[in-house]
Amino acid sequence: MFEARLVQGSLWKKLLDSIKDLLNEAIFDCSSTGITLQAMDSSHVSLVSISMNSDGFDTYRCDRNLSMGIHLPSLSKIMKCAGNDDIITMKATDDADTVSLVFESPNNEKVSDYEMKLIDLDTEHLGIPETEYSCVVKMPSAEFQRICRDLSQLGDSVVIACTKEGVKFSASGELGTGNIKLCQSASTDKEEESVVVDMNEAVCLTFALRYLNFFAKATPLSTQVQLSMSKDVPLVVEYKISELGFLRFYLAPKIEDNDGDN
Amino acid sequence: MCGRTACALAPDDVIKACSYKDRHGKYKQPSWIDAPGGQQYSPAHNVAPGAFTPVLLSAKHLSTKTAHPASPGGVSDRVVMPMKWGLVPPWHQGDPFKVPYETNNCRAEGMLEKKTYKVPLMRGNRCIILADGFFEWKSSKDGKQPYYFYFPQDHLKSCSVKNEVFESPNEKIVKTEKVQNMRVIYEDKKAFDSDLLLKDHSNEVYLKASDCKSYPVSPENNKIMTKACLELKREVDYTGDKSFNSKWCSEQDRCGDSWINTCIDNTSISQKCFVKQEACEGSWTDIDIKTKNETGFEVGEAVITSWKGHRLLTMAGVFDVWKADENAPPLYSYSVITVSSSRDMDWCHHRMPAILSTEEEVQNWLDFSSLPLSKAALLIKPKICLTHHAVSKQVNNSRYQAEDSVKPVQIGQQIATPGSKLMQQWLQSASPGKRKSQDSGVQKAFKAGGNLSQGSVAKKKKEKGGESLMMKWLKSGSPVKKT
Repeated sequence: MFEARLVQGSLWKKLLDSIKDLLNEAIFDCSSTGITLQAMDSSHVSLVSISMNSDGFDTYRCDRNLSMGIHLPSLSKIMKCAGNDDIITMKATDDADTVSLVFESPNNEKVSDYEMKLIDLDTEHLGIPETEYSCVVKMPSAEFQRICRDLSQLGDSVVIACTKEGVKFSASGELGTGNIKLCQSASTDKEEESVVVDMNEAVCLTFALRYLNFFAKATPLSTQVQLSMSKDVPLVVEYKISELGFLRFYLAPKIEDNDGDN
Repeated sequence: MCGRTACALAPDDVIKACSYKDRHGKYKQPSWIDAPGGQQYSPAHNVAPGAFTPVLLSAKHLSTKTAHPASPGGVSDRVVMPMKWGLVPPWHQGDPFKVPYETNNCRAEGMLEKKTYKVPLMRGNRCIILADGFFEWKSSKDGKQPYYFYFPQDHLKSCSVKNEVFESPNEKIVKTEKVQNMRVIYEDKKAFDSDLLLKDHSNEVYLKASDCKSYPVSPENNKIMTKACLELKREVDYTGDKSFNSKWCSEQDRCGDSWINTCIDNTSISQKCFVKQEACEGSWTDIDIKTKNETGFEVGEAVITSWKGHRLLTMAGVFDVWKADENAPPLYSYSVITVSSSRDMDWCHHRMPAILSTEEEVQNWLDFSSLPLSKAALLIKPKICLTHHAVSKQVNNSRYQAEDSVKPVQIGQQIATPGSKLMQQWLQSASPGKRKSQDSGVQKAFKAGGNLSQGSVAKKKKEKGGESLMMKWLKSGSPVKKT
């Protein structure tokens, strides 16, 4: 028996919205410690990792480990049926081929109940290497979304150069070039608006903007985003999901002489 | 719907592929007639409407006007003529390539009502559209994926070929009978001469050896074959039979790509054996056997007439004749009749061409003089007789003519890009022990991905730039662990 009740149901909605375009299907692994999801996009260039801690839920019960193969666009459709203030409860029996979702309005006047079919997926569990990153940048998530959107007007890829002073995003294309420089905020009165660069070694990496724009769809989840970079390892774009856990996107850097397929 | 076909056989092979048995059980080939307007059929792997493609029809449609050459085995009552795909009704005025409505396909449901098709059908203008196969597209949100549909080609896999027996060198008799079926399996050309193993009693000859990959149909090969023939002749000798006929099928283990069927005709009268091999591109070899008697005169000649190559798709169609003016040469054009898809095809598209899957059906459809339209129309129905595979999306463009148009591809398999490789490598560098079992899974998946990408199209050129960098990075040990 699996049951997870989340009072702040909008988190589920935002979470699904942020991954449904990148992933078509994924496995939700439920265990006594929480829910995790790891999946690669169809081109195998990026990876999504979600971790939701059992403590973050209002009630959480998982008697046996359960893997639910879910068609994400379908789940997203169902989640759209939930109001923003609704309490969302996810339920499944141990050997079920469906998952049920219960949406309760805050004043308990309305209860909706949805059941969705699960799908069979080949479990391709991925181990994510523990990596020390040369640069870790924390910045407002809305700012990151804006930068990615703006620079995709100019080109397919963005060069992220990270130095002590700050971080520079640049793109170039047929119509010209664009550079956006963010400096470390001197005073940090508002944490959510600060830009913090934590750096061991300067890095300069190129990424496909297409994917960064997919990642930026997670912006509503968190006011801050954290970018972790090292040479020749995938970039990590992390959004915290309040007390629940995190949503991380991994993206392989573009390699020279590669003409924009990733 | 049927809006794209492949038809890549040369005219000569098309008529061979259409060989059939007539009422007397004699093999016949239809004769080839050029389009009256001089338009040429050009074999292609991606044929769109408007093109001239070979169409099989009853010779009665033409017999009074056009004298056609006799085909081997006597005058045939069928002819193959290139016709324009897209029926031009006789009343059409102006450019025949600009018929205001689509006539590539004719819906079976309305063919007896619509004037465009009813009139020619009533007149008996029934034909068979010949093609290697046709393409159909399945739409999904990732775009249109083409699939190639064709008759199952099972006969290419087995080498059980009927023997044509020439009872006497003086008679031109073709009799089908199972006689001595001999099978030669090459496994090594070097050991060819020395290691001739003969299992006489079972009439099976195995030439032991090890490599037959490099067996192109070449003059050299011919020589080897002939040598083997002679060798065998000596070994087997004539065991009292007045005539001894054998057929050799040499089999190449490579997927029936290039089969060589060689027949030798050993007669006790004539000790000479001429093996003539005619190799045609792709999948097929035709053999003429000529026997000579002692005086050296050619007395018997026969053609093995059952086609061993790609079985052509036979789609029912309707044709009509259009003339620009009184004196202009007639333009023959056709529509492919379509029906709603059979249940093995409806996953892809809701319509399919009307396939005539047996020789009998073909005969009945063509024979407009004996079978009335009302009965012939019953032949038009959805059929489960096709096989298919996915093909490259490049086929979507009708200008794409490469041979790999019809080659199977793996769909849904991503092409390994430098980025995806890096991602995979990085994931594999995950600390071992922690997720051992899972790691192997990843590796497996990675390997599978690598292998499959070999079969997929349009991949190579992109990888080069990133590859050397990847290799360097890999050799330097995973940077993940250096801190």
